[in-house]
This record gives sequence, C-alpha cells and structure tokens, in this order.
Amino acid sequence: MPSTRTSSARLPTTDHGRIRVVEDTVMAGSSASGCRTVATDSAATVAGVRDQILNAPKRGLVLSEGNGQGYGWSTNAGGRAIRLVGPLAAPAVEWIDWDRQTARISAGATVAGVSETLLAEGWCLPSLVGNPQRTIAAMVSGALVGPHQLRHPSIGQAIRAIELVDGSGELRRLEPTDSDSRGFWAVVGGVGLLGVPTAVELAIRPVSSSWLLVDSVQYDSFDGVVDALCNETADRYGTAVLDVSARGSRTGRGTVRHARHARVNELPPTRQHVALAYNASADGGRSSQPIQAIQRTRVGRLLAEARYRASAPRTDNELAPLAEFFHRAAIAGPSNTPDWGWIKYDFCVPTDARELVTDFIRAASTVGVPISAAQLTRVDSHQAGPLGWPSSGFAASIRLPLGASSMPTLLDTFDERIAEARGCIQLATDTRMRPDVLAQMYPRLAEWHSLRAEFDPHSSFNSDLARRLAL
Amino acid sequence: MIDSVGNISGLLALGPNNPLALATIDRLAGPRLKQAVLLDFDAVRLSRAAERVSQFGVPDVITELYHPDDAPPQVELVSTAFDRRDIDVVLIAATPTTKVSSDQVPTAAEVCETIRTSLIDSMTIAEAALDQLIAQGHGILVVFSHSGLANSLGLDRAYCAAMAGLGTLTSTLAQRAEGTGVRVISVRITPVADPNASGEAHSSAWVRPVDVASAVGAEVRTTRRNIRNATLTLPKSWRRMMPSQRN
Repeated sequence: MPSTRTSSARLPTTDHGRIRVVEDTVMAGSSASGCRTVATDSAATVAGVRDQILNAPKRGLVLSEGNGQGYGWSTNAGGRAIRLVGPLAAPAVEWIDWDRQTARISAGATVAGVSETLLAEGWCLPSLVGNPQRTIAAMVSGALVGPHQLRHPSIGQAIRAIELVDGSGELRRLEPTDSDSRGFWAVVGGVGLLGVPTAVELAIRPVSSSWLLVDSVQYDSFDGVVDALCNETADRYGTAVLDVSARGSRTGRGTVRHARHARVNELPPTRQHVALAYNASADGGRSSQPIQAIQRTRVGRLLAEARYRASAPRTDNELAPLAEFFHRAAIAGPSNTPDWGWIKYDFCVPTDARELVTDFIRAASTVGVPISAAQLTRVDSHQAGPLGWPSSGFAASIRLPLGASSMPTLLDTFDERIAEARGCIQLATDTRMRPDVLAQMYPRLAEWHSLRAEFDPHSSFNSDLARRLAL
Repeated sequence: MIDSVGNISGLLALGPNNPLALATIDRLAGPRLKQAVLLDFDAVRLSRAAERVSQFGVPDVITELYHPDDAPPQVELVSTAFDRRDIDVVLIAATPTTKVSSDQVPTAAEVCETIRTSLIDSMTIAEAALDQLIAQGHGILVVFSHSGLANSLGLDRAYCAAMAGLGTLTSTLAQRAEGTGVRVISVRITPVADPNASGEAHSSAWVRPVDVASAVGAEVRTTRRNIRNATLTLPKSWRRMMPSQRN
C-alpha cells in the first residue's frame, strides 16, 4: 500500500518555528498489521525542533525520512515523526566553499533537491544511494552503503560537520576532527536516535556534467564479479548486479558497472547545453504491479535468465543520468518497503566470507524463496561509528518478495552466519532482525548505548526499529 | 512490534484455554515472541493454559485472573498489560461451553452467566484492547466467534447466542479500527473439532483448531493484501455456501 495521507491541515508557523497542527497521519511502514499510523509534525526552525523534542509524546519522536518509503528506523507506530520544512529544508544548499570543496546543506532537503542545486553549480555529492526523495538528515542517519568509490568509502567520510538538536533540546555541532569525535560517529548511521540533524556540511566533488559514462561487463562467475569490483581506479564508482537466476557453478554471476562522471565534451552535442541539468525523469518509474507479480514467479526467473543472456556481454561508455546510476534500485524497481510485499536484505560481509552471498542465493533457491534482485558493492576499510561497519569486504543488497513460508527461517539462519563471520545486517533497511544477534554484529553496541544515554537522556527519540531491537 | 515477515513479540489472549486460542498461540509462537499475557476468570483453566503456552517456548507467560462482569478492573488489566510492552496480537476467544446432555435445560442464571462471560466480558476486553492497540499505532485484534446455526450441533445455546452476538459486534470494532493502523480479524467458524465435542459425530463441515490457526497465521503474515480488516469464515466451503457470512 502506498503512503497515504488522511489529512493535511496546516496552520501558520508560530514564533518558535513549529508548525503546530500538521496532523498528517501517514500510513506507512512495514508492519504485518498492515499500515502503522505515524502522526507527523513539521518543524521549520531549530527552536521548533527543540520545542517538539522537549514535548515528545510517550512513544517518542522519530525523524521523518522524507517522501521516500519509510523503514522501521524512520517509522514510529503510535508516536510522532518530525519533518523538517521551511528554512530547514530550503534552500537545499546554503553555501558552497569552493576552496574547501564543501557545501552546507539543509538537513530537510531531499537528496534529489540537493543534487539538482549542486549540479547547477558544477558539483555533486560524493556518495549517493537509496531513494532520492529521502532527506539529507535521513541519509546521514541511515548511512547506507552506496556504489563503491575509493575516495569516499562511506557517507561518513564525506561529512565535515553535523549540526543537530539532541534529546535535551541542545544544538550541537559535531565534527569528525573533534577531540572527542565519538558523538559524531554515533550520529552517522545512528538511525535517528541521537538527535535531529538541522544542517550538514558535506564534501562535494566538482563535475562538468550530470551524466555518467558507464561500462558494463558481464562475468560468468562470482569470483569474476568480485575481482572486477576490486580492480577499480580512484575516480570511478563500481557496483554489480547479480543474476539471481543463475544456478550451480554460475551462481553469483552478474554484470559489473563502473561509472565515472562524463565531461561536457563527451556528451552528444544536443545535451551539452544542458549538461548540468538534473535529470529526474527516472524518479517516477516504478514497476507496474503486474510486472512485480511476474518477477516473483518461476516465469520471472526464466525471463531474467533470458534477459541476462540477451544483454550485451560488454558495453562501454554508455551515458546514464546520475539519478539512474545511483538510485536505480530505489526508483526503477518496486517500492522496497514491506507493505508492498517486498523486503530488502542488506548485509555486509568481510572479504574472506564473501561466499555467504552465493550461499544465500543457493539456499534461497533450495528452500523456495524467490529473489527478485541482488546487488553487490565493495566496501573499503574505513572509520565508522558503533552502528557502522568499518571493515573491508562486500555489501549485498537483496530484494525478496514476501510470502514464502520458509523465508523467516532462512533469514534467521543467515543472520547468525553473517554474525559469526563478523559481518552485519544494515540497520537502516532492516525490518525483521532478532535483537539477540545484534550485539554480535555490532560489538560496540554498549558504547553506542552510553552515547545515546548522553545525547538523549529522556529517551525522547524512539522508533519501531528501536523497540524491536531494544536499541 | 510485528516484523516484516510476520513474527510477533507480544501477545494477549482472553480465554487461552480455548482450543482455537491455544492452536493460534502455538502457530504464532516463534523465537521473537517474548511475552504472552493470558486472561481468564477461571483460575484452574488459566494455570492449565499457562502451562501449555510455556511448552510452546514462550519465555514470559503472565497470567491474569479477572472477575466476570466487572468492567473497570478488566479495562485496567488490559491497560497494565500494554504498559509492560507492546502487544502485537490480541486474541479474544471465549471458552466454549457444551451441553452436558441433550435433555438438560440450563437455568436462567446459567444462561445469564454464559452470556455475561462469553459476550459482555469479551466485548469489554476487546474494546479495551482495541483502544490500547490504537494508541500503540499497530497490532491485530482477532475475535473468534461463530454463527448461531452451530447450536444445532451440540453446543450450549446461550454460548452460541453469545458467539453470534460477538461476531456481529466485531464489525463495530472493525469500523473503529479503520485508518488507525490496527487490524481487526473476525474469525467465524463452524463448530471446531475440539476435545469438548469429541463425542459428536465427525462432520466434513467441521474444522480443526490447527486449520483455524493456519488461517489466522496467514493473515498475520505480511503481504500486500494483509492491510485491511478481514472476516475469515471457516471452513472455506462454508463461506462459499453462505456468502452472507462474510460480514
């Protein structure tokens, strides 16, 4: 079921910047009980955010993810969500420091809005992933793993500073260069439980067009895919789309896509005069319901096999809009939220345990759980917070249609195997993990709990994910 | 919180000794079910049910004895249960009463007591639970009932009347739950092949508790279709025969 707003009565902004009666009862989320109600209040200023935090309801507040479909971390059944509007969302980009290649961005702006503004000035965000309609605040709080790039292995590496209102209503400025940067790293990927970001300073990279030149190469084995992902140059992004229809020794084969930003003179003459325009045409293209239904079946698998065989084994320098390359899974496929009948199983595994990806595809096939799509991305060792994954390895994003009775057991089994292999399930998209495996996946969980107690002593922030995993 | 693949973490059951409730709890119990709160007005039945539910692997089984026909304490009991932790599924399953023999006519007091415990108390607790579920913003209320037609098959007449009334009144609960994030599932069944009715001749129209539990379990599991209130009429052949039973 798509997001539905049952009412939307807005009153003028008060002196404190809090728009008081935005009773959007958003039917969103992932509950098996169908939809959950999330009453959303909007805040237009820091004072408005503080006001809402200090008057948090019993079931707590959560940061609204934006216009994208919400996961458990950004839904709060029975509670409230804060949506950043007005000056906290526009202008999307407050200023650009050309010398430091840094931009100050409104936390309530959408990723698409920021991309559009930055591109117009000849810049773009260095790390993009997920739904482009999510806000920057949600992107920072979720810290999903995007296509691999050597210079910016995670969104955390691109953040220069975060301004957030914590659970006590205090406005803090957090930087990775602080003498005590634990707070900064706890907020990045902290699933919105430490505070509400109001502005973010991000490293940006200069580009001369909004297009990417994409090289796609098919590899007939998983090892081939892995080797190709590991052989990247610094200025290129890399990701792989696995062919989930392949079986036997070919399990895990797929197409590796490397991309780099196109220069203006590499574009066709007809596009050169609009080289820096953000092409959002791909934003609306969700699969139709009949196609989704076919994708779940054996026929869908056969079609996938045929499509893989029919596609060119290698294409070079194919032009793709920025949105299509980075947000392809989110905007071209069906909605990834469970109330649409799909869930994402996103996990990271160390390099020496990468076979877990192919093991999962094989096991799913054996127990009759169809997989509709799978992506693989390399992850480099990097600094990360207690709820991040700092090791080098691979991040897999697998989309599964709900309905197979064996799915819960399969996923539970692999949760344990991933934990044993020192990997982790990505919290930002998790909708079903058991709390008892969480500590094994995130050994610094106790440190994060102590930081959360410091940032949010009254537990003003809460979410469905937090309740389920006792965060 | 019910997770995306249909695992529940908390459950409340009224009349847990009812074979339907027991089978459903057994079906829903999984590694994530941490707590089950069991309500009954009969201490012996309650302890027996608690023992069974513990055997299903539920780590924390809380039993609460309530006094029949005393609404405020019943509402308070439900409120306390929800204060402890989120409850994802509430089962309303009044314990069936059968006739001791075909020629025994229950007294007026016995009829009143059956109506009171099976209908009035069930509705009081169901309403209180629905209030809490709505405040919580998620959850499923499952109400077991059946039509008065079942009276001809050996169950107590007052109990059958209570069940028919409960089934009808459930639709009002479903209306209240619309658009709140809470689902109400009304389960209407023909007599169940439970131990209390073991002496009755088997009929193909009868369903087993495990069939009912499977149907409820399938509703709890997430699919795109499982987003609205539902009425399950079991067995399905019965539903085909009597379309009017759908709602």
